[in-house]
Amino acid sequence: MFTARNILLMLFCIALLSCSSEAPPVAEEPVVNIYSHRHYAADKLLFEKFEKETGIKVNLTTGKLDELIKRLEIEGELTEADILLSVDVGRLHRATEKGLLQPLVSADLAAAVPADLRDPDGHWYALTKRARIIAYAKERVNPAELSTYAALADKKWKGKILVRAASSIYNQSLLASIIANEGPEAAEKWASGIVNNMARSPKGNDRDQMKAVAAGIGDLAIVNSYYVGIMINSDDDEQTSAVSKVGVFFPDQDKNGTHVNISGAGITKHAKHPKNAKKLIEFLLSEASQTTFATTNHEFAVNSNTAPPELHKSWGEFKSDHQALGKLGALNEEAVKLFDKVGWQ
Amino acid sequence: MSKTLPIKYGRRYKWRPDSWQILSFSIVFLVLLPLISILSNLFGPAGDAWQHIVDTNLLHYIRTSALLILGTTLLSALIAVSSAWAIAFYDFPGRRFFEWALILPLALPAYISAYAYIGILDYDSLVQQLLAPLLPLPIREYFMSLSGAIFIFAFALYPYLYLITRIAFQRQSRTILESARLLGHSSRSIFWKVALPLSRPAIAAGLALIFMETMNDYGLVKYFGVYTFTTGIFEAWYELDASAAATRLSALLMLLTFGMIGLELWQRRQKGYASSSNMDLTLSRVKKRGSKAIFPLVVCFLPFFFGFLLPGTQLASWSIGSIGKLESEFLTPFLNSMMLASTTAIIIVAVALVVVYTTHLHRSTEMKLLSKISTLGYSIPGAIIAIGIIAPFVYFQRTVHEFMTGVFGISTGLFLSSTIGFLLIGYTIRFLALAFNPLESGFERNCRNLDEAARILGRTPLQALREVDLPLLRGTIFTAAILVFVDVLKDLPLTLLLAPPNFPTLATEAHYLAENEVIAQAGTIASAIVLAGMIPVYILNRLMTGDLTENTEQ
Repeated sequence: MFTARNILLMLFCIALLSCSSEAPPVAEEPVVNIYSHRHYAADKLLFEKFEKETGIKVNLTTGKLDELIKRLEIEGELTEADILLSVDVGRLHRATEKGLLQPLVSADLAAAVPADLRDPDGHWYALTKRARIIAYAKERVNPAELSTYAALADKKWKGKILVRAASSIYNQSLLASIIANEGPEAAEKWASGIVNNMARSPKGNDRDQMKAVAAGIGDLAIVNSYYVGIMINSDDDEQTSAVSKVGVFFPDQDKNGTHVNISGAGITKHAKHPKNAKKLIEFLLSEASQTTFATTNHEFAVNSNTAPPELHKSWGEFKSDHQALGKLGALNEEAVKLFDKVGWQ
Repeated sequence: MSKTLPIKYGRRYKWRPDSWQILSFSIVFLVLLPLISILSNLFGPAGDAWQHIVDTNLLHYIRTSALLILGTTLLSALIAVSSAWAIAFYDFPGRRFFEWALILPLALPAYISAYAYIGILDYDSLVQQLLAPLLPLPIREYFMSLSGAIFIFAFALYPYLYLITRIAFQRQSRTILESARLLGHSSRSIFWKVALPLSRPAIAAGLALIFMETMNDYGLVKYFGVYTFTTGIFEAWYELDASAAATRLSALLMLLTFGMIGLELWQRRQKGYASSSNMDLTLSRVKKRGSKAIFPLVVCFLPFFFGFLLPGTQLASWSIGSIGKLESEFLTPFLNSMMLASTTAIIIVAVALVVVYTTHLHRSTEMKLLSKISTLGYSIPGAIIAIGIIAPFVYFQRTVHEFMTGVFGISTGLFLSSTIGFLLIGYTIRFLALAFNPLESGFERNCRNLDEAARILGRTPLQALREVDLPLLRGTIFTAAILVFVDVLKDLPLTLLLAPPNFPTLATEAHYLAENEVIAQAGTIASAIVLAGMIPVYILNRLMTGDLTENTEQ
């Protein structure tokens, strides 16, 4: 008993000392708590604006999505998180499956977000879209040679392809989309073809792949579209000069469309401030906020009323594969295992 | 390992020792909690995820991890032991500078150093332009590899070993070394036959820290395309959502760590390594001037250059380039970091003192074993430990919540989870090993007979601790505190997951800026980490040399 009291006392003391007198959450204080994987300047700008407009304070806990989901799961009904902000549709799907999110029904949101970019029951809504594009060396590759993701597995590109590790969620969702569209056998063949064609074993991040294209390590890089935008707008001469040597190609235009993943948000099952959470999600999907995402972070807006920024206009309209989005979550594990099987590190 | 005394002092004071022991056991239990909570998954159904890992990557993970560990420990041992030897036994121009400059890499997180090196060796860098005619591929391609990772880790982590080994060398009894010299042994032969074998426990302790630090890294190895055990743990835990499989991998890793430490202890089980208590008799240093000074100079300059000067200069040049452009606020993260690091250092030293002193009072083998086990968590990746911390603490808070709502109708919710207290508890659990090891050896070395004398003269254990041990251990305590301080300053995984909302630290800001690849700005924040870490490192060195001189003057 003495021991238990001791520990309790100790913990309480520490809690009291460090607690900024945070009272237990009472329903709908002017606060909204977010667990987010996103840590971008655009988000910060928007949250500040939201605080100013509504007087609702935004508390942001950032971290890796998988860890945040795990934390949400452990915290259960006691969690203080109201919103989960994800950069991958598969993780939103996983969170939904685990019963961590609650449905949000809103006519405004339904009007703003195309049906295939939100959960049918409203557990999550896409905020932005990112396309997995091919960045090619302008000097050495004629874009007419490019067509589909499948064509990248052709022997023609042996030693030419740059792509990051299998642990990258965007590679996982790309492979999951190929499984969804063409079946597991075709997907395995594709993945092993890419491994054979790699210019080097996977390392670095998306921007490193483009820099390697510019440096002549390989000719084609499979990267996310918004990194191209970030590099173009960088202060760093090295990045702008590297990206100027790289062209952007949207594959699979004659098939299902270029693979896209979304960044999205859902209200947690046990949210203590669901009304504020709803307000924030609506705010992030407003045209003004969508423009901020598109211009500051170079992601594609999901609200179709938003006018695209110059950069996106210069890339032209493209067809994106929305059909696969709903299946990516369920196929993610299979994709991870396939990568291991074919030796894509 | 020193031999235990025949008399069990603890038994004489029945009521006192109990409260020491209770407190210590609670602390050790607290530290073991995350390990228990992680390992409790061990017996769950492993599912096909485990089989999948065994079938595909397990061998690859083991091989890469083994190479990484082997390379890092060998290279860092080479760096640390040779420089510690030069500092301890030679007198050469610049010695006083290198004595502390060699500790500086401690202030530079390995992942930041990696970014700096990639900047130095980048495709359009000066180095690349110079090397272009010699190499078929850009130098950066060779650097981002297993060898590059070994290089970064060895030059970032060697100070742990250097610090411990240098003290061990300096404290070796003059009698032994002088005798060896009188018997006609050259410096070289004294090093190999006397000094090195005598320092074995110290070297082993330092290498164990380096081993664990290397194994718990995740970001750097991933960025370099080096796929280790840790990669597997993360894949299993998160991507395959199979905690049982991930736990098996973690358990395997812990077993490996435990095995290595066990092997070392077993190997030297019967050999006495107690260093002399006559610290006033340190060996006079051999004067090296002119061309003879080249060897010690080179041996000291290279680690300082590659571990600190070169990457530090790159960071500084980035900072200068991005002054005024900084996106993130600077002052708040700086203050947050300083607050966290100093508070944690104080808490951990206090907690470690209690445990070590209890072990010391009771000569308790069980306690010693338990506390050794509790330091094992240091080898598990921080992000996994963080989950292991969250689970039992949420359970605890839920119990309190249910009790409070049930009895008083007050909803306490997660009263702890979004406070700094939670993060502080997390740090304490994670970094206890850092303070524990130096304090333990400090007690062994300094306090054995003196506080027993105090006890016989009628002092209570607390009085003996305050009046005798604490003053004697001042230097050791500061060493422990500063090691913790610097590590908290650099910590990423725990801070990311356990920090309260809207609570940026220097490490998290640098991480996000680097992740969003605003490298130059990340460099500015990283420079702040280095500066904040340099101050205590400087104090650390002053204390350690001061500690020695004090002893010499007695």
